[in-house]
Amino acid sequence: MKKTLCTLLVTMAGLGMLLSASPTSAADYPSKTIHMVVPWKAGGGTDSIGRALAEALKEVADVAVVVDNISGASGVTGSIKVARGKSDGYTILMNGDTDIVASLTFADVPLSLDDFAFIGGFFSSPTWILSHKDRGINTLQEFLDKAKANPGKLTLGSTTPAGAQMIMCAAIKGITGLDFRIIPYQGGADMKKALLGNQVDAGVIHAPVLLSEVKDGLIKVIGTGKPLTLITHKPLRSTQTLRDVGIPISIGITRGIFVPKSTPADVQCKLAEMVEKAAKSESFKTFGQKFGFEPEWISGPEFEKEARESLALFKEIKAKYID
Amino acid sequence: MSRHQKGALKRDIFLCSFFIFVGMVALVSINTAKGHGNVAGTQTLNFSTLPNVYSGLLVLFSIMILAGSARKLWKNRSAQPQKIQVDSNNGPVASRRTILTRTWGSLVLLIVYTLVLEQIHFILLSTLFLASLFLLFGQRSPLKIAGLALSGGIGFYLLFIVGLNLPI
Amino acid sequence: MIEGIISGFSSVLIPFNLLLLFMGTALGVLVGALPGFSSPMAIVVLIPLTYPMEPLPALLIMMGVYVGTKLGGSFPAILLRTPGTPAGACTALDGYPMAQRGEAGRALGYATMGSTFGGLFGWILAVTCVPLLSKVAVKSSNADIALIGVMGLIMVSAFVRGSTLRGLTGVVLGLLLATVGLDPIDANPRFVFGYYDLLSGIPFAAALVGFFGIAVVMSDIRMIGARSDLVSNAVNMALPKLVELKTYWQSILIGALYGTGFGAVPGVGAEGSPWIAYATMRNKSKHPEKFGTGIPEGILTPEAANNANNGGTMVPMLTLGIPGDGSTAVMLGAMILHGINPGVTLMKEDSVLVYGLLAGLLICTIFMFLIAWTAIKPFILVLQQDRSWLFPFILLLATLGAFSSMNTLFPVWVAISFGVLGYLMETCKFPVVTVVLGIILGPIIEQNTRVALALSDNDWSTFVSTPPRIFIMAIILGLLVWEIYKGVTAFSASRGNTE
Repeated sequence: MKKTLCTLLVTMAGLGMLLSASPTSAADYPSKTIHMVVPWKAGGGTDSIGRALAEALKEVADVAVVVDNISGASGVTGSIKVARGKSDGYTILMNGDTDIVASLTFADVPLSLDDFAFIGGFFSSPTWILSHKDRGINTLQEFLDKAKANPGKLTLGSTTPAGAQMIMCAAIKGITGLDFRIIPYQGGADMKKALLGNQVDAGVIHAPVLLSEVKDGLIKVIGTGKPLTLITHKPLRSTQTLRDVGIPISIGITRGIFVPKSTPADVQCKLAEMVEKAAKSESFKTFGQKFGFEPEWISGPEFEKEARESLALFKEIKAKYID
Repeated sequence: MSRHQKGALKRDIFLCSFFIFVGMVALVSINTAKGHGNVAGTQTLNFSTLPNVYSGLLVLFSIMILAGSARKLWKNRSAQPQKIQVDSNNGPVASRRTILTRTWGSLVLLIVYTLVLEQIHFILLSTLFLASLFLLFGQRSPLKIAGLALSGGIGFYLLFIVGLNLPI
Repeated sequence: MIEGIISGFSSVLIPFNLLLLFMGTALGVLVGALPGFSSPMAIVVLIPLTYPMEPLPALLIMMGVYVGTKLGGSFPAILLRTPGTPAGACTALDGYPMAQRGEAGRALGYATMGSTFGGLFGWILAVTCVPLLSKVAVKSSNADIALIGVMGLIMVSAFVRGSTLRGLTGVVLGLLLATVGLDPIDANPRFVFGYYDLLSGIPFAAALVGFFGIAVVMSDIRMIGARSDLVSNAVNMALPKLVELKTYWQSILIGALYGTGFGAVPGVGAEGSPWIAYATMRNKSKHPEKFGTGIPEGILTPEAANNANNGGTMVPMLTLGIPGDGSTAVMLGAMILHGINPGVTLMKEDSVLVYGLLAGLLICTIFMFLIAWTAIKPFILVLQQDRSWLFPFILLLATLGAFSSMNTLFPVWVAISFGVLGYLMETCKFPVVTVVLGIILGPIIEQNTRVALALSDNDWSTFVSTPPRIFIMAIILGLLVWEIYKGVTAFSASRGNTE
């Protein structure tokens, strides 16, 4: 009995492996379902942006586009899975460039920007600094002045202890040399609650979270890491940036598409074309407007350049002001 | 004391030693890790405080339980009246050896399944997995085994791979 | 408010929406009954399917799933000791013993009624107290949540009476396991040993699947071959009479209060509410030793709590845009996808949606009751089969369910490891429940304590600086004193016996 089972197992295993192999041709890409890996749990901001793009991409590519949430280690697990996966263009990664860069900066992970080919960025947003209206702080300069006058008293919240937001907080504190306290929170929902409950003087979070509360007047945008020129809510377009107050860095996040480095060049080209079309499509534009930002297309090479610059910047700030 | 009670005490000692080992490893690991900057500056509670407390307590409690069990075993005193596992079902229950084979056997099968899940075709592997478990648990009718295993494999394929789009 | 609710009902009581609510609830009950499968997973699948719909119908079907899984998860918990969802794990403590006595129908009946009434009370509480609860949610600071976590931890001792030392070991083990990963404040890696998957900690859902799915199968393999009496009695659900339920009003009320409260305050952890409600009922009961042997209160309380959660989590989701648990997080994502901006302004901008969802929640609860009442027979029939047929399916479901929580093999390995651990612990009479509670409460206590200290600039007096905190602190001290007192009297009594 056991022997027959064994031989059966072996033959079936062999058959199974034969069945799993299937070559794809680059010329008729895409011809089957594309899996878009979003390395975060379903329901977050990045996930929603990814799903909106997936819907738009479906129309452009004329194939099914399925979102796989492969969460873990702040996006590292999913990113590594794609980097090491099949390079036929049917498994693509959707992530924010500074999210990847931040995890490379803070943790020792077997991942590097060289593992990827950058297809392009399609949704850019700066990281902004918010404050509850009852705190009476209107601009970043006011916050810095107040911090100077009251050393050790003001609190600046960061959405995560190891992300782009923390780099921004550390940079502000380090470059200005002022004495205020940085409070790390555990994610967007936590930071939102702290801001809505007026528990910190200011908080750093990716735009456009809390945009509707800003429009309503409950929360104020006191500063931003990059110019807010593309935000749909016009009055915010002239918010003070870090550079305006003498902090010469830019921090934001651009969501883009990545594929493994060894993906054939023509597949990459075709994919870039499709994603660009999807990003500029009506449905994605509408989503962007409702969400808060006009989508903009950043081509692959430029996207890669941005990411590498951010990596260098983050590593520098971490080495100088955090360690 | 009965063989059963002796076995129970031996298992206690084994498990507690495991916990003590885990606690020790934890203590060593957390205290040799170098922490980088205290950004938030919570000096009294830093990254190693609570893990130290927890692992310390784990070791302490495990030692206490271990000592208690070891003492009972040595002094050969009968243990406190344990709640006897009364199975409200009467009938031919399998022998102890069979139960152990089944328990660890199913664990091995589970591990093998997980190891090759991403290599071998899903329906095939799941059907084999189910069939082997049925056999292990004592079922003997080949028709029933094949039928249920196959329908299980196909059913889960439809549910998880097609329906849920699991990337296996 | 009242006109709002009425208008909400009018937008929901149309055939298409009612159909969606029904389908969602039925799907939820079904999905809930499959071990390894959880509510957020099912709701995620619905996102692309409902994308072309209008926001309200799309969210209504998700709401149905959300409500249905809370009851569905209890069916295998009662009949097989394996909960279908994390929320149903506490029901197994008394549900399974009751079923073992041949009273499975009664147990299922209590679960259904507990869920229904808990859901109803939770709904009423949530809807009437939305402004109050919203304020509490926003004003609750990290210090408050940390104190509540500590209070919950002390209540855990209700589960260790009788084997205190082992129970405490379990709790401490759970707390230690919860520290694996990146330190929440300074992002220092703890116990990662080079496995980057562990950076975000041990996935809770996978651990539960291991503890309550795989471990239970491994422990109960010894029951294969023993024919269960339950099969011979054609088990129908036996709904308890309303008169009888009235005697247990305390269980339902306390469960509902905890469920709504814990659901409404984000960060406290809605997963813990059935356990803490159960512990509270046990502590204040006149016959605490009966808990765990199969008494109605032991089923009614956690069931009421986990369905009242649904009402509670609606408050921060709709008034603040903050999720109270995994399922509401996915629903918020779905809202964003549909172009809705959840947050403080949602009520103003889209009150039709808010009231429609609230109305939908009530209707789902009613549907859940009806579905359980009429369609429970097939569940019972399946779950009554010989374990040698069921266990392989449960193992496969557990594996695939763990896989789908993160879409990688990592949680499967976690589930298997915890399965082995749970099996060993159960064999050695360690209460596995305490480890689970340690894992749930550990991060809540640590993160919030440290953030509270950071906010107050290392001033420990922040924990007693507001009236609510002093109140909770008083409860904590009272509980501690009581536990020590009970422990001492039990100890001296046992000493007296053995001398």
